[in-house]
Formats: sequence, structure tokens, C-alpha cells
Amino acid sequence: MAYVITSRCVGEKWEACIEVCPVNCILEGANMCYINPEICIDCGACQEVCPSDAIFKEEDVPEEERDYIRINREYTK
Amino acid sequence: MAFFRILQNCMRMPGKASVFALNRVSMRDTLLYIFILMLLSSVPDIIDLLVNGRFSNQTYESVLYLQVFLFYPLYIIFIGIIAISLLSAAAYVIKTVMKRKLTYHHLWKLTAFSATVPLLLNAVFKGLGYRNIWITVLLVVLLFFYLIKMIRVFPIISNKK
Repeated sequence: MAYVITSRCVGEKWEACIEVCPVNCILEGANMCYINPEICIDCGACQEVCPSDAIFKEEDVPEEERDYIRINREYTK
Repeated sequence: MAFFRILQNCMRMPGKASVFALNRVSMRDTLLYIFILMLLSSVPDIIDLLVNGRFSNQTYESVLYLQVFLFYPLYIIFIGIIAISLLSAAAYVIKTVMKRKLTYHHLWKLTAFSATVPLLLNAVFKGLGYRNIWITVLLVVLLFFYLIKMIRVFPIISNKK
């Protein structure tokens, strides 16, 4: 299980998550940030600092945001 | 209640699951937790102040209550914040040596949580009447033991993007 960045990050991109990630698994995209699920160690440091509340545990991603699980995975491939 | 959930995770430290659960605790809850913990750990001192202060002829009762219930907790909180901030600075050096990527804010929280067991033990020792410098040294060593174990939970920094 990894963390997932959802649509609330689009256009916001505060990047506080990139700063705190202890394994550098968060990539900066054009409009939002993305988490590489292969590297994420599930520590939750990014979730606590996200001012947009855009980061969820994979199993807690709201139904309407579940597409972002795939989007994060594909962007960071 | 958040306090008991955090306390439970602190008691399970330095396991990976508990460290990661504590990562998700907000800064507000961390501050509230450490305030409550410090007040609890100062109960033996408060009792001591009340008992010894009440029987002293030179202390007015209203001044004593003001001292015990207002100034003493504020003093404890002030000292606690300063101590955690300084210990976090030491933790920053440790994480640099251990090549971990942890921010100061993150280390501040880890330091606050790793102070749980030493603070509670301190209260027990004070309650039993044991007060000396060696106990303080032992508790600081214990705090650093927890802190190092918690920092080790995180993998060595990778610069691959």
C-alpha cells in the first residue's frame, strides 16, 4: 500500500510533500505532484504536511478520486 | 481520544508501524500531547509544592495556588518546548550522520514522541523520591536510544528521482 496524490493538488502544487518525503518518491509534474508507489514506504510524512489535504492512503482514496491511483502509478513509471 | 492513541503508539515504539502512525499525527495534536504529558509528569512536583508550600509560614495561600496552578505549568511547558527544540537540533545532527532525509519539523515530532517513556519514568522516580543527576542522564540516554531507533526506521537517503 502506498500513498496517492489526488485532484486537490491540481493547480495547487505546494510541494511541501516533496520536501518531507524521506525516500524522495514524490515527483513534481506540470500541474500536480505524483507519488511513485514502488518507492513509497507508507510512512505518511507527506500526508501530514499537505495543505490541500490531497494525499490519501491507497485504501482511503475517495471513490471519485480512485483514478488517481492509476495516474500516480503511470506518471512515475 | 487522540492523546491515548498517541500514547499507545509511543509505548509500541520504535516499531515501524508505530513510527509511521506517529508520522501522521498533526503538529497541533503533537503539541497538545506533549503539554498533557509534561503536566502529568510534573504531578509529583506539584504535590511537593502544595504540601511544602502550605506548611511554610512565609507563603500566602493565594500566591501559592497561583504559583502551582498557573506559573508552574507555564514554566514546565516553556522548558519542555525549549528542551525538545534543542534535542531536535541534536537529532538533526544524528540524522545527517545516519544519512536520512528528515526535516527539522519531522524530527521535532519524533523527539517529542520519544520523550514519552523518559518523562513518565521521570515522574515515577520523582514520586518514589529518587532525584539525582544520574537518573536525568539515564533518561536522556534512553530518549536518544528511542530517537536513534526511530530515525533508523527510515531508509538511507536516495537521490534517485
